[in-house]
Amino acid sequence: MKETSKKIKQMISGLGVLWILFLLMIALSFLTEQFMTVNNMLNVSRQVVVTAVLGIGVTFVIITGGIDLSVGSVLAVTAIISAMIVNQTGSAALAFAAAIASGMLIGAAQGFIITRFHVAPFAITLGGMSIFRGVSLLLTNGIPISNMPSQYRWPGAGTIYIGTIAIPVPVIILIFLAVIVAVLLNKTRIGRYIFAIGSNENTARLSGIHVNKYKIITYMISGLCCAIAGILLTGRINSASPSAGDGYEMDAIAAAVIGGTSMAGGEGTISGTIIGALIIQVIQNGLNLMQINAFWQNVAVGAIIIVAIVADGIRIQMMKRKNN
Amino acid sequence: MGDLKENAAKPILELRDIGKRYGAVEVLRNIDFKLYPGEVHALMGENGAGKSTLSKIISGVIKKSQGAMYVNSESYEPENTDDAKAHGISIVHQEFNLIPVLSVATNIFLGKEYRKGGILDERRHQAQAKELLEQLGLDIPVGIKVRELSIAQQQMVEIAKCLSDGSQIIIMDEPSATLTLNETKQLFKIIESLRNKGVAFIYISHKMDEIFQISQKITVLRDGNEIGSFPTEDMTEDKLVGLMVGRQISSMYNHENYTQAETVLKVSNLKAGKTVKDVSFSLKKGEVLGFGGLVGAGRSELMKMLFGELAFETGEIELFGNKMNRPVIKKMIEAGFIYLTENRKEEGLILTKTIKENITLSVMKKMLKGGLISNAKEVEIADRMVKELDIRLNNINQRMTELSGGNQQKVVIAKWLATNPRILVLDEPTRGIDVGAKHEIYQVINRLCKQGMSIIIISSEMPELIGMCDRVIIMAEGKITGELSGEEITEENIMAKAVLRGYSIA
Repeated sequence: MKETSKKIKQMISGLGVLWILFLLMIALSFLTEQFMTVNNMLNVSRQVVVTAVLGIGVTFVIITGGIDLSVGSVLAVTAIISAMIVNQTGSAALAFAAAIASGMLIGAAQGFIITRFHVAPFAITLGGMSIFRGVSLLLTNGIPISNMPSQYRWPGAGTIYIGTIAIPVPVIILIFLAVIVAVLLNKTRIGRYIFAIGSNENTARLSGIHVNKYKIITYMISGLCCAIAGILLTGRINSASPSAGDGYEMDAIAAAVIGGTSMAGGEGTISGTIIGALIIQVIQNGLNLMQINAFWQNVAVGAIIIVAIVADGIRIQMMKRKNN
Repeated sequence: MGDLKENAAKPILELRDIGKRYGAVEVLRNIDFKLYPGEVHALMGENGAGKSTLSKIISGVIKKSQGAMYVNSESYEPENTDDAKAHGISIVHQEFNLIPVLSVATNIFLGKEYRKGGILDERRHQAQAKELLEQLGLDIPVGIKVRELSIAQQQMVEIAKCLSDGSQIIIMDEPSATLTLNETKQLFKIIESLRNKGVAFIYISHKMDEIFQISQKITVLRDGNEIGSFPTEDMTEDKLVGLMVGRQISSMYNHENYTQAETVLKVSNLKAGKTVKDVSFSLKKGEVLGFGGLVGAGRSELMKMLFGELAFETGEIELFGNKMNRPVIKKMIEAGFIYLTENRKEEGLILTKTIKENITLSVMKKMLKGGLISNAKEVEIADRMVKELDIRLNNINQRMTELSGGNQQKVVIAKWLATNPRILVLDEPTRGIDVGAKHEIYQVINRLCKQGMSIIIISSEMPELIGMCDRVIIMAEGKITGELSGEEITEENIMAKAVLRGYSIA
């Protein structure tokens, strides 16, 4: 009896944020008729992809106890690089490769500086955020690049029909990415080491783990995710703008935190981050549909972040108390 | 002293039938306890016996579930630690409540500052702090920051702080865990002088010799029950251990010398600034080599240098005949040289992760199957190590925090044995561990060196060095000051070499 009730409790706490998402969706389907329509759901799923992909990258960094504020700017710069290349050469493959390479390179550079000089990730990626926004503006002279070829736009804008259901390609890409990184995080040495570093860096180092190397890897994963998000966003809106992704770091970090990634490091899941991104997206979408002043969206998302962080704080306190 | 004798008839603190339960779990039951002025009353028991719970109830950290407490015959129901302090009861924890970046004087008067027209009266703080420390016979400058003090000095400041609160009862939880012999002596001097002034102490420690030295009465707890209160003079060490563990432990150490001829480690002329000065030594196969000395003598630093955690300037290291002149942790682990940290919780374990994950962390490479971590392999190795070291747990997916100190230490040992080491450096291997687990760890060490493993033990506990080591090297201020073997290994000989002339702690 006790064992099962414990298990149920664990399940409920494991599903924590999923309940919030369910409740939100149920509430919204009563509040507005358009919400639970196939069209709107597809719309939400297309929109959530960018936040979710960025959130996945940031989750890796936060698990090691770091933070990446530069994701919005890196998204812009990688998107612009790839858009310029595809418009010059006509090769989408080359453009994608360039975006991914530059994203990972930027991540590696930031990670290297952070680990080599023992400086605060917050400060370095804050600097990165400004630098790469500036580079984006410099590269484009402030003018968005548009009219990309259709094969370039396909990952972000395409659809695949399964029977009669039209599934957006970016959603499929997100699912693929999520599965791969979830395996990476939970079933490989890299993942285990990343959790170890975030939980107790000293123990990790004294266990023979090359702490700096794995921290740099997380920033590279974050950079990779920025590039993927950039490609998907550019494809969807058919424009690589120097202001693209402005403020997205907020949503990405919020998705991770709402999804249960601990800012203190050592905890986090990919599924949690995706659910976190969905919650943010559903709130924004719902408020739009109800024609509530868009400014309220900021308030609502902010409130949910605070609730999630306070819940995390209470959880840590309770754990500490239990240990005493 | 006449007054004292009269008062001695009346307990300053009395507990009647104290019990504590968390939900259905009863952690303390029917505890009766009397503390008299000027008494040092030792609280003994294995980890989980209820010592900490009882001291937390007395000091107002947690509330009792039943029973009554009296201070000077008046009913005492502390709401919180401040309330306890108001009744003259303070607790000195293993981890100090001092703020490292603030001065000694500021720390002592933290929360009860004197003000002069709204401005802090620093001069008065300093003057009173100085007076207080002088009363304790301490020569600690009150203006310097606490982080610049030695651990022993910090503890003295902590005691001074309790006294400035007007405490008549001071609870000390493992006060000497981080102190060296000399520093402990200083602590005892202070306790002794306060005792003569009528201050009463509840003293929790795992160190037998200290208990017999400092206490007048011993209360033994086991599994939340009170086994009894005894005058210290009627007690023997064997009897006490028997009462604590509930069974007889024949001999603590049982160590035999398994030293073989082969030299496995040779360190020559290792130098690193002020911490390690021109150190040379060697280690044989199957040998247990002790490193004695005071805290700060450079023993841990030396071993961390060999392990690749700290850098050194010059020197040669020969490991199994191979030169290893720039050790890197990962390479040293692969070569079979392991350093087991003295800071189990901060550097040895990941407390928030499971037992299984902790054991397999340093052998992750062997846990892979097609590039992915194989749960079956992890379970296999974790189960094997748990069995080999007799780690007491419910299952290997429990979090580390749910284990006792002794079992946590066994997990650290398990984690490293999984790497198949040939040399194991154990830094304070039994610090803060109860007698039963201590005994078991010593037997593990015996088994390992019988199998041909070489072991280095850094320890501040004399009996451990004397009981377990085939040879002891003594360090002081970064230098090797002596080497003892066999019958020469005695407390006096070690101390004589550990203390440089002119050295004092305060």
